[in-house]
Amino acid sequence: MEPTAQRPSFPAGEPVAGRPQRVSALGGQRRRPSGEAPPLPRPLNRSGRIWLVAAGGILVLWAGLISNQGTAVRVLELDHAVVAWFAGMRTGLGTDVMQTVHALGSRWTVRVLFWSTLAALVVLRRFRHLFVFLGATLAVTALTGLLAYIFVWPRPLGVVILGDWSGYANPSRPVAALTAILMGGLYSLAPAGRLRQLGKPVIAVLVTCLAVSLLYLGENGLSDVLIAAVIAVTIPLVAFRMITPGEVFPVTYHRGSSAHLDVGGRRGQAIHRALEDQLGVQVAEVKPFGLSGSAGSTPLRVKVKGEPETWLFAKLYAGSHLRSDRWYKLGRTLLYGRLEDEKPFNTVRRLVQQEDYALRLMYGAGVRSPEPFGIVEITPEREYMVVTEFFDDAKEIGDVEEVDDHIIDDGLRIIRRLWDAGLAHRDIKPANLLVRQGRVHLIDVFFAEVRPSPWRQAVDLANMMLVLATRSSCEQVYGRARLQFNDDEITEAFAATSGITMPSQLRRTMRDQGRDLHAGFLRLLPQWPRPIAIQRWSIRRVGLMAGVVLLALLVLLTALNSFASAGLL
Amino acid sequence: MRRRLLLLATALLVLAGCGVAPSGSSFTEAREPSCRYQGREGTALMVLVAQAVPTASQLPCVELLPAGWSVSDVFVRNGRVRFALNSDRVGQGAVQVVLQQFCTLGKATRVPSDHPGTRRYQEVISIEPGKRYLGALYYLFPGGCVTYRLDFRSDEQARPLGEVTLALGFVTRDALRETISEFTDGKVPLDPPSEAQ
Repeated sequence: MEPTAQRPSFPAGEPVAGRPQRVSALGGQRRRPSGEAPPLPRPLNRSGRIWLVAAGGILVLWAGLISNQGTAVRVLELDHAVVAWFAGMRTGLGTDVMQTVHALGSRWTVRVLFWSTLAALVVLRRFRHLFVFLGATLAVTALTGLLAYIFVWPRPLGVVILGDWSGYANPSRPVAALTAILMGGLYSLAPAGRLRQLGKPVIAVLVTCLAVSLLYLGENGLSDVLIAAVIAVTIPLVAFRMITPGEVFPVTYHRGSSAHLDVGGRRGQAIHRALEDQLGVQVAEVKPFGLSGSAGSTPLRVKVKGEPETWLFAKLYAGSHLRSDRWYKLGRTLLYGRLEDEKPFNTVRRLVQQEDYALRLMYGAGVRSPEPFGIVEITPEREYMVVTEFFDDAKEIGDVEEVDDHIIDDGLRIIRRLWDAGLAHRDIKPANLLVRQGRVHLIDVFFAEVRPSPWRQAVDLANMMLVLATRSSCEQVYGRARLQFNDDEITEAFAATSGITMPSQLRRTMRDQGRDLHAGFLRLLPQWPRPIAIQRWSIRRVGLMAGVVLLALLVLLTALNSFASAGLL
Repeated sequence: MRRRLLLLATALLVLAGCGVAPSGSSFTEAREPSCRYQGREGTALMVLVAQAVPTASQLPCVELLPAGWSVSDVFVRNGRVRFALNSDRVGQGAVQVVLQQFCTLGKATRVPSDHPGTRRYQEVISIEPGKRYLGALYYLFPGGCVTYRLDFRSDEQARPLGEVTLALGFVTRDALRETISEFTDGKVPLDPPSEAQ
């Protein structure tokens, strides 16, 4: 299809026939009935739910018990009876052993475990697990500190206390800190399966040993260690299961990019099932494809059964991509002000809707881009795939031996077509321009914007010219560009373009080639353009910057304070 | 389902906090080293203070804070208790109160004690006329010693010193033991049997 060709509109008064269903030739689509689980449910698991409800229930029960004098006294009596029983069994050797076991909850043990887990997660570049580990540990230390202040529970009464202690007794902070760190370490470092299952009883034994030593030495009562253990197991367990579920973020020691989602295991099966149910295709194989060129999603190539076998291209989006998009936009607003539409998406569903819409818009506008086949739901509100046509015999423009006048004209025509249709692509870079049978195809239209600012359109032109020049020369591209754009338009394009407006892949390509193409084009212009400033200052931006700095300081101070009080620093 | 569970757990937690917490200043007061709380000798914190130095027959506490004074930095661990008094006139941390089993008196001079059952020593460390007063008061009693480290950043010395000695007092261990016994109907003692008097 020529980029300039318009799709014919549907004739008035006739039923809409639509275009042929290219992806449901085999099998047919199936509607998921009400009550049926989605292809990849995101379960907290039964044990997670039990721990969560148990922890909440125990805390309420506990609060009720100790806020009432009668029941509080009974708890004190029980604690006293248990600790007095342990104290009655004290011997010289027993005390020595228990004081050694007590070192499990010492500041140094906890510090070594905490920092070594942290270091391991940094070395393994498992940053999501690292943040969950930090957050869960912080939550446990902060909550136990808060509850200790609320409960004002004394150390065991009526016995000689042998160990070192500080502060109120309930919940037991050594038990909480040790349990939380061990749980965090287990869920972030041990792969799910046998190793993790083996780790659980090991943690139980270690925590029980510490608890017994605390009871024996009279540092804590039974209720202190139980409440601490419940809190410190529940928070990391729920946090890891919810934020880093094994199916989505598996703990593995295979090499691979952590920025992309794993498409094997349960997710792989879910993708197969979802494609078959929702698009009616028989999937033979799903493989990651072109990961290096994509940071905002996980690109996949789908082999479809049939005679002959065909291919589809799919982009898998999850909550992590949504959050990346939010951070990216916040970062841009802080660094440059509100250059253009920086409103973040609220949900993954809206994010994929935008991509699908942009694909349909481009395709409908006659821009040579992949034909969209729709959205596939993997986990409701959490994971979706955008499925399109796959250009199976296309080459990235950066890999083409020579970019001739024909390809240059074709690439520039795409920009002219975008301008005429009132669109901007906003991510013109070598990875997004494919050459197929001597024609340029534009892919990855996620950032596309309708009715963009003239500045944004000018940047698209400059970036296209720079990309084309990476495989030819500035003079050649400039000469061809003047056939479709006038000098003012080209001058404006390079006035609007500076370092950060060029995609990083384009900058890297020019750097690798040792060519300053931007300067090369500037020299060719009839007059040196006055650069268009990209910094936009507003009260909102200043307020946002101040808010972010204050919030970061507050979080840092709170975390440091909480970690310090738990003996982790 | 997951969100509902989270909400439920959060609500339970908040309820747990609210269930125990008395309202307003009463909540804070129960967590301060006050000599009396709701008609009884000592507070929950004072029980912890007694456990920190199990030999101490007297336990330092706050009788009644004069206007402009507040308590902060309460720290209790085995063998040592510390808290600070802040003043809007003579500075933050104007008084550091420390309870230990033993203390070194240095060049302190014995003076008549204002608290029965204690011996009082006083030491002037340095005086910058009109600017700063550094000194210490020591109260010795069976099984313990309380130090008031004084750091008044003001031209006044006499008035804040008078306010401090009036604000701070002692609860006897026996009185606290009585409170615990009354609270638990005599079922749980404060001290182990061998140490109970």
